[in-house]
Amino acid sequence: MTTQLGWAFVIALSLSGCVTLHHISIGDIDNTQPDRTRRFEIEIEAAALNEEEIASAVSPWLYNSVAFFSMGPRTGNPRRNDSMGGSLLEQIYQRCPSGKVTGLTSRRETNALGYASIEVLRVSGYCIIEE
Amino acid sequence: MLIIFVYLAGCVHLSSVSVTSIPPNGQTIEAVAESRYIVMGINPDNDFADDVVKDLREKCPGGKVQGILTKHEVIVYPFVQQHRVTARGQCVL
Repeated sequence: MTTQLGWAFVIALSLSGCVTLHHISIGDIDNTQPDRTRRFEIEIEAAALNEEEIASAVSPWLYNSVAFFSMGPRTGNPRRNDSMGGSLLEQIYQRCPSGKVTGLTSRRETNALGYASIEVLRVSGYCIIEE
Repeated sequence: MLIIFVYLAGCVHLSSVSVTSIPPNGQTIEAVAESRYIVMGINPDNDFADDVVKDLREKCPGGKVQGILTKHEVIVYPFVQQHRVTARGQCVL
């Protein structure tokens, strides 16, 4: 029974993940019409690999090669294309057709899952609804 | 004793800062802060940061909050990290 509880605890911890907050910014807030605002949230996710960890498990030479070609500042694990977040403006307009957005908050996060990770761009805000 | 004090005081890392355009006149809003303690790196989400916008809205009823300075800091203690998001701005009525 104790062993089962221990495994359940370990599994629960693994599934909860380790979400790291890298960056947050908050835009201007128009609070003149609080009863005409509706909150929205957009979440863009992309899978990535911790290539250096994987390479180090294979061989030191591979690790050095991967590290050499991916050096530099980073947030989260690197990806091989830069399309993430490209459709953000369109998604905001979809959620708020009036285009009157206030309190726009953007967060950049990484959900680490061992050798892999989910790189997250989370944007929330308030849409001022037109009559 | 000094070592223990320094150890428990924690090291503060500034993760990110952002500022929006500053209005010519406005009433300074007292800084609002939301934080979370993360033990052994286990953290299911960062939704605590959403409350900062709610707090700013409550501090400026019927007005516009501009010139918002947002800071995200990580304070590192032994086995525990405190993630703190602080914001202050100008309320224009």
